[in-house]
Amino acid sequence: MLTAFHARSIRELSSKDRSRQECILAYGEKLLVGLNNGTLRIYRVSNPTTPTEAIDIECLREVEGFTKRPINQMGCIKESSILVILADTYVSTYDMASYEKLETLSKTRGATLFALTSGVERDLAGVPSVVSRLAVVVKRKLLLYLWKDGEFHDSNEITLPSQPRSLTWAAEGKLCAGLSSSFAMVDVNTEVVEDIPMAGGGGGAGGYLSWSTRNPLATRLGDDELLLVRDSTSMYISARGDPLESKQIPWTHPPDQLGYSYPYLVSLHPHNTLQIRNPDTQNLLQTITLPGATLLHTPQHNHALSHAGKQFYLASPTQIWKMVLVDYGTQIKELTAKGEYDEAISILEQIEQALFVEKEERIKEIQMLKAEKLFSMGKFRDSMDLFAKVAAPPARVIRLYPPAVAGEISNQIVEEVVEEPAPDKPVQQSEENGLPPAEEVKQNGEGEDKSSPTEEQAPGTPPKENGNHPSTPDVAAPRSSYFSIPARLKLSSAAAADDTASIRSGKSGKGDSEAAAALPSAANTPPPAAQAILPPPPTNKLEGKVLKLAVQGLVSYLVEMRRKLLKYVKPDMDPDALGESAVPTEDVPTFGDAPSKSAIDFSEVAALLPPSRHGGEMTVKEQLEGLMEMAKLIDTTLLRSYMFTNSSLVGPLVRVENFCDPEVVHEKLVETGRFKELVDYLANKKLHDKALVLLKSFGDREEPDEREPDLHGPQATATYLQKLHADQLPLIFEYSTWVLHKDPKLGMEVFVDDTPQVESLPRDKVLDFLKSIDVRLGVEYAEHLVHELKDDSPDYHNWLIEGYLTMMKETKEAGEDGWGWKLSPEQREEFGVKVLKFTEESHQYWPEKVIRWLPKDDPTFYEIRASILSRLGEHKQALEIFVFRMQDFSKAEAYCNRIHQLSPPTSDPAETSTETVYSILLSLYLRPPPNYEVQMPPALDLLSRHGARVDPLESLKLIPESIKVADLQSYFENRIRHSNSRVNMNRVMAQLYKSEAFRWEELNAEAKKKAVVIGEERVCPVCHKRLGKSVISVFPDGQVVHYGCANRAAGRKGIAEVKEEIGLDLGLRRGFGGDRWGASATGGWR
Amino acid sequence: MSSRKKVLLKNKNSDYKLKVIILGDSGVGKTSLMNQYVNKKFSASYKATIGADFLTKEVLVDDRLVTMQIWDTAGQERFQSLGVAFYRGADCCVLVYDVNNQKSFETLDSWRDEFLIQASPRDADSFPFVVIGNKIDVDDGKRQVPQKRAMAFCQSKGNLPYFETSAKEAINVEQAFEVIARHALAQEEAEEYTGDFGASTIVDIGADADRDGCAC
Repeated sequence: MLTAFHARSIRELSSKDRSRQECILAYGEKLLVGLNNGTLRIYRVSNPTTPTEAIDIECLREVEGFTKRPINQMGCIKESSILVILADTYVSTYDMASYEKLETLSKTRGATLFALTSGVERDLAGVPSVVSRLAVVVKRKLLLYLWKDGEFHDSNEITLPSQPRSLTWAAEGKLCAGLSSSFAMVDVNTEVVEDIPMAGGGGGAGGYLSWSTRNPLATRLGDDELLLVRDSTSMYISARGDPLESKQIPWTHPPDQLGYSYPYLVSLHPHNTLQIRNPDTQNLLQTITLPGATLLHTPQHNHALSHAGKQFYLASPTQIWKMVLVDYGTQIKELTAKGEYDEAISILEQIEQALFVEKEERIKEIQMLKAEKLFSMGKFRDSMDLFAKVAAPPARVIRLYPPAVAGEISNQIVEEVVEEPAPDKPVQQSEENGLPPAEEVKQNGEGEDKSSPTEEQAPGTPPKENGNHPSTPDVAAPRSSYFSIPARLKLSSAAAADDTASIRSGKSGKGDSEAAAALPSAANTPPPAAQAILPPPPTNKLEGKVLKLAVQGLVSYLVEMRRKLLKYVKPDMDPDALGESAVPTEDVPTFGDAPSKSAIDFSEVAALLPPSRHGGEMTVKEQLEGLMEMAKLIDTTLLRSYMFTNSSLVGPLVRVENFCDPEVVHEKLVETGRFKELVDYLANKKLHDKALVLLKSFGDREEPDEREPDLHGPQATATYLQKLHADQLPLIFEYSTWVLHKDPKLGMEVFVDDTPQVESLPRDKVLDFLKSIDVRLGVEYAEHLVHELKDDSPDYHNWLIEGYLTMMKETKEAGEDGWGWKLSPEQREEFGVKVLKFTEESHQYWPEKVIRWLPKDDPTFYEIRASILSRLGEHKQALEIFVFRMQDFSKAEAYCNRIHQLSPPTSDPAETSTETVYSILLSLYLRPPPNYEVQMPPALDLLSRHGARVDPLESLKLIPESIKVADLQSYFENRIRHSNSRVNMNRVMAQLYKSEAFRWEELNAEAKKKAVVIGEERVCPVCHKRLGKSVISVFPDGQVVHYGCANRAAGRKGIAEVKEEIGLDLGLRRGFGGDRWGASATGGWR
Repeated sequence: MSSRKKVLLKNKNSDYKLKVIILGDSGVGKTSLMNQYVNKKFSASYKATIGADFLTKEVLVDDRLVTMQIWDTAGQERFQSLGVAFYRGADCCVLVYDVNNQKSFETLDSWRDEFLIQASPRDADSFPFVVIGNKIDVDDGKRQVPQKRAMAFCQSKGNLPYFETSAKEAINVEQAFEVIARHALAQEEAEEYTGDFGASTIVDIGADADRDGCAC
């Protein structure tokens, strides 16, 4: 199934030549052949770079009689330029250049086998040195020698339980010996021998029987793994000797010889068959039959990797073949072409990155191919999980689906177009007839390695056909290797010839094209790339339930990819701006809000991107653009998928951050009548304009649209508008208009709802807008502002009044805007009350301004006017209104009462104020301006009730002569009573004051009673002079000091005491006369 | 897939294992709610959750022993660190916001939408969500989201159960999780009948046959 090696015959002994080849050794460019007659032939063999290139072979030297007997085994220690030869039961060393014997290791008499290894080892001190080790089997003994830095050392001996039949170095100082009944791991330093139990038939009598016939075989695989084989039983162990997971190699025949030619396991079997296997998967990759081949030579494991695969020879007694490795790229291509994706991945993983530069990319590519295969097999979930795991480019995954899901990049689009006019059968025909020519064109255009994919599947049939042609490549591969024909050519020609070419050939074409895509020139926008570079892999037609399952799988892939992408891009990102700002961040790993990990992560996601257009590194901007493009594809497809399988998820998708293509969203949602989702989408994309148009078209119609009856009426628009922020104000205004017209109450909700968005709207603009629509709305809004939001801005208060007034004074005809009203008297009344109440309660409006708006002669506004006048302090004017205009005296009086209460004059009104509101009112009653009659009865009423609050002189002056005293009776009564009450009150007060005075007098007397005695000897404690007849001060504690010293004493004792002194001091100075004490004491002491 | 899941989730003690996922902005009290419910503990110190963490609790729902696996998530990065696999098989999603934080309430809708996309439940409309307004113990004056508005939100999203809780004072936590368990159980049972989505047997047979063909 694979051509990993080409066997190139490089030397064949002529039939005359009697000698037989017994042993071969290759190192560097040299090939040493030991013949049965003891002759050593040395050839130089060139390494062809391509499998077909001619191989030069040149016989450098022939050393006749090199050994006496035929050589049994050869080895070389390059580090010491030594050849190690086992012949004639002795191991001898020879000089590598001169082929002269250096030494025969005499102890090795009877040797049957040896093993060599070289490597860097560290001694106890940790100093590295090149150590080559030689182990020789002599019966049951192991003789060990070593060359350290070129010096030969004899080493120890280890005795084993039985005679080793094979010997393999496993690791530093570890040797794996194949004994007659088991394998043993020998540590040459500690001389510990550990048995390696062999799983499955290992040990025991049965084992003995079956194993007795064959030698145990062992080979080292890679760096730290060994394969042990006995008969047909195989076992992997680590270099330390621990068994690894048991995987049996399915040999058909037990191998005779075993080797490892990186990265393959090679084994020589009876009947001269060479098998090449992948050691990881154990699968047989290539079988080569070479007549008479008995000798297998594989490079020593410690050879540099770059040499590996070049020193792989096979020999028969008469012929030598050089096994030429086909380059890895070709091998991988071949495997992928055959759909052996697991195999290809496994091999790729074993190949060093250094040997295969695009290893990672290729693994990814093949995994994608594998996923595609899984997909075509109907394992959608596994396929999509794999796609998601390797982060496959979405374009590639998506186009596997029919256009309903994938949109225009679907690879089934051609089919669909063809299919439209005719039913299934003819279509099938047209596909087969129509497509191949088209593909041939493509082939010609794109080079020979692009084999043609062919649509071979009937719609709906399970994709089994591919598997039915496995034999062609399997047969072709080994054959082709014989003739050194590159498999590629052969395969693609076969594919071109055969119309039933399998899916694999299609894939091979793609593998190549992917390689081509890796070139810098490749286009990288997904849709063109999908069409121009990649011939679409043929897919079976997905339909019905199967398609549904497939799409469900796709959804999980898309969601996963979406999650990955969203870390880096946001729908509202501007790549230009971001690219600029992010350029320096390539050096400093900071990016967005995740500074620490962004550098790494960004590169991780960059793997999702197609290669750069310009070859070199992509700029951040390009990467971002690429990612956004990808995100758009993913989200758009996700939308389509949801539409297809789980339409209830469409809503969530369009509401979250997404990159959906607006056109597709629009088309899809309209198609299925999901207008609510469409609105959500538009809202999410901040395309409020469109959303609102849509809402309007649904809401503002007579009958509910049957597609989305929920959207009928203004409710949806109103709800939508409520969510808009202040920056969308023009839109809010534009689209709230129709709502307001339709349902003013609902429309007002847009402006008065208690959500933060709504509250953030600029109030002045909203008010202006609402005013412009209708005063009523303005009023409503202003009321909301003033009453609910407690906005104290005078503008709103002023305007509210204005609004009220406008509504009251106008009778608007229904004009072109359909707004008209005529207030009924009750409504007017109602407003009047409102305004009045407001003007009385609010303290924020500007009365000077407001009053000008009031019509002078409309009785409705009298009271309002009065109220505003009162706010201005123009009580007289206000009262005039009540008295003359309204003739409502009780209201006038109530007005007075209110003002009186609100601002009671500071002192007794009756005494001081001549200008109380009452007197104003009275004067209005009694001295009305010209043209008005004197209002006697209310004046008298007022006098009788509030007479006391009016200055009596003033009022009496106002009362005309003609008034009968009888009419004034109540006033006088009131007045006199009031006076009397004041007289009485004053009397009481006088008595109270008097008693208070007595109280003080008494206190005074008490204080005066206190006395001190000043004797001759008494001295002032301050100045220590005698007090004598000086003026003195007496302190409350009885201390007596000079009057002059008192200040000093007080200063010492503190002010509190000084105060106390005053009262006590008083009494002592009675000699100075009762009247003087106050003046002198206070004056002197303060 | 379906059978594997059941095997994984069945527990020898309980009839059902329910996967409950708690979502919400960072700092709304998701971890505290879970801790209060499971461990009856509250810590006033804030420590941001990293990735996701879960606690289990066994409860009796209608005489059936149910193991609730409650997944607490990091509110800081929305759905970016946890893969689709995390959300698969969820039985109930708890949306938490802080009643004193207007923004945490406003993002509930997108949490819900993101969850639906990630989890891709078969029937998105009937998938059980429970909304929790947390931190009601905080002074009333600081409250930013009136109960009325939260209720209206839940109503508009298909009558989601709504709870106002305080993880600190253990108010309503028990009740909320009881409802969560009940809804999760109902969801789990509904899922059981319909089966997990994935490959059908028909497709599998075809795939196996195919494999026979290409062995070499």
